[in-house]
Amino acid sequence: MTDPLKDLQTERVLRLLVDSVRDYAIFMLTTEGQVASWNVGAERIKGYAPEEIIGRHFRTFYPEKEQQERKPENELVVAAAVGRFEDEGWRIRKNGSRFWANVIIVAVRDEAGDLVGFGKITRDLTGRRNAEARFRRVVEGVRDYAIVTLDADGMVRSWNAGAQRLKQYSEAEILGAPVSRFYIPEDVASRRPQRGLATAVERGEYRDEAWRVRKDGTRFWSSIAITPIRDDDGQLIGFSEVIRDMTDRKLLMEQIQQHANDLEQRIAERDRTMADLESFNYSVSHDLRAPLRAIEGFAAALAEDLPTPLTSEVHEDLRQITSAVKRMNALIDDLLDYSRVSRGDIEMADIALADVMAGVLHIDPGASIRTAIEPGVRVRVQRSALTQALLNLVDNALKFHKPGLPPTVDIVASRRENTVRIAVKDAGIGIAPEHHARIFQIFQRLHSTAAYPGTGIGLALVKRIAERFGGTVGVESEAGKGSTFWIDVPAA
Amino acid sequence: MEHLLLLVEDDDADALLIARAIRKAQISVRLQRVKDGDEAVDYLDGRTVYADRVRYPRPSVVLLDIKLPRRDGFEVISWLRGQPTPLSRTAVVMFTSSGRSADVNRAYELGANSYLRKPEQHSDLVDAINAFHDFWLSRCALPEVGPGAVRDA
Repeated sequence: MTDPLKDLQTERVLRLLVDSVRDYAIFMLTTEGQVASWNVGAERIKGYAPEEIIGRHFRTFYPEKEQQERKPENELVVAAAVGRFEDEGWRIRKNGSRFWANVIIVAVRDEAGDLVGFGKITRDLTGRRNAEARFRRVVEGVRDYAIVTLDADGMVRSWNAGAQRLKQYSEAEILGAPVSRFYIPEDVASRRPQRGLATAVERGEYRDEAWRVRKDGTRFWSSIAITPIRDDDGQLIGFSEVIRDMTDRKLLMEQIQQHANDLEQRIAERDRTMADLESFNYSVSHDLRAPLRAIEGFAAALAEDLPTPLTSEVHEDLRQITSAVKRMNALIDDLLDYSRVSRGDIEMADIALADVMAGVLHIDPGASIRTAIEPGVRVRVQRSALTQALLNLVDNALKFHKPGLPPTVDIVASRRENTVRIAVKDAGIGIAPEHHARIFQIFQRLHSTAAYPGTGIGLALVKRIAERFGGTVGVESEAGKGSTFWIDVPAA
Repeated sequence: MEHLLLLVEDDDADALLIARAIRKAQISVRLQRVKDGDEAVDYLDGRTVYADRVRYPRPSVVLLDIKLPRRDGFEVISWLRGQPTPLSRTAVVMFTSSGRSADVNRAYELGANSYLRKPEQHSDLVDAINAFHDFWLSRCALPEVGPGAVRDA
């Protein structure tokens, strides 16, 4: 019976093991560096058959440049001195192609400690190397994102094209610089870089949006993600930081915000203007009326206190004062109406035109007004404003009748697509076409107040009311042939 | 003994015409006029010269304008209603040219007892004064308001 343990410890068996390993090139070198043995892995990786390589110097596996630098010889010196040498680098196959090798050289000594040669183990890591290189090229090639790796202390260890484009430093300039280089001074002062890294370590990730600084000192708004990198044992070895330039988006957002602020400010200003106008109107109505009341009051007092009987001249003078006061009061009323209609909110409602018309006729019950309203027509208006507009038109139609003839007024209303036209027709003195545009302007009058009393506001008010409804006004008339004023308002 | 009517009115013409209307209406009432809101408060509170309640007794009714210098009618009535009794229960009739519903509502909210509009026509003013006298000073029972004031007629 042989001892299987002992059997497997013989040199012959160990040699068989070495010979049959395919994934590692394992071979012996002489103290001078000549290849002394060659296993199947070495043949597979380097392409030489044993008889082709044994006896040749191992420098033949090295690129020419390294041969000139006597790197192979130096490696043996190191291995002899410290017992072991490990390296990664390009090596050359028999067919001249390169492969990325992990190389271990160990010094082999006899029992007396004398150097008898070297053992060399070479692994082909080209596949892994290519994968890493591909990955690095991808990272390096990314231009839209700055991808930076930092060591555990926050110093820059790698730098891609995106980082160079974004931050303007070349890799050579920035390697080894602290990450705080890219932070604005306020953030550096408040230790934001350190807090960012600490947060990344604590939570596994750190995200932020902040101003960062380029090499030329200009700022860009960046979105930032920092992730800690750990080795297989979980030890922190550094960080990856991915940075994206969001300046355009930030500026866009700021512009939008700016516009929103402007708008709010304008609305506030408009509200203030409205409030000012409101108080202005109130003052006008109060302060303009007070002296009028006084004039009228003292005219009345004079009439009572003067010795009677009054002469006809005095009587007429006092009547003129009172009449002027009435005109001024009417003017103030109309101005206030005009201003009220021009500003502020009007609440529109769907109402039957016949109801509005009834209100108009009720206010002027004595007048001879004929109406022809299309049944069932509804309009979208503010009732009181439309009533006022129609009353003004009816008043005009009654007022401007031909001398000596009684006024006649026809009101005709019918639907036209999306609007309703309400026409007020008279047989009065008419208006020459050249005046048609002017009469809708405020304070424009064609007659003296003696001939036809009025403030010059009535038609302007009608026009303004129609416009507030989204409607229009117009007139068809010729001198001496009567007038038809119409107002178009939205149909409900 | 006559009622004392405190007229708070900044406009001299209005004050004259109101005084004239009272005269024309042949109403037996003593009229005391102050020209702004601060003076109204001084009078009602008996400050400065108005401390003399024999010469300046508390009014039976205050005729109060709204638009006044220094302190407007709303401020005067707010102040008055915040005073201790009996002063706080003094009858107040707003007498103003403003017909704004906002003003009318506010006056009543603050404790006005009625709201009378100043007529535009002088002849209407005499009528308004007559109506005021007939209602407030003849028919109404008025509250006791302290020193110098006249109780119900």
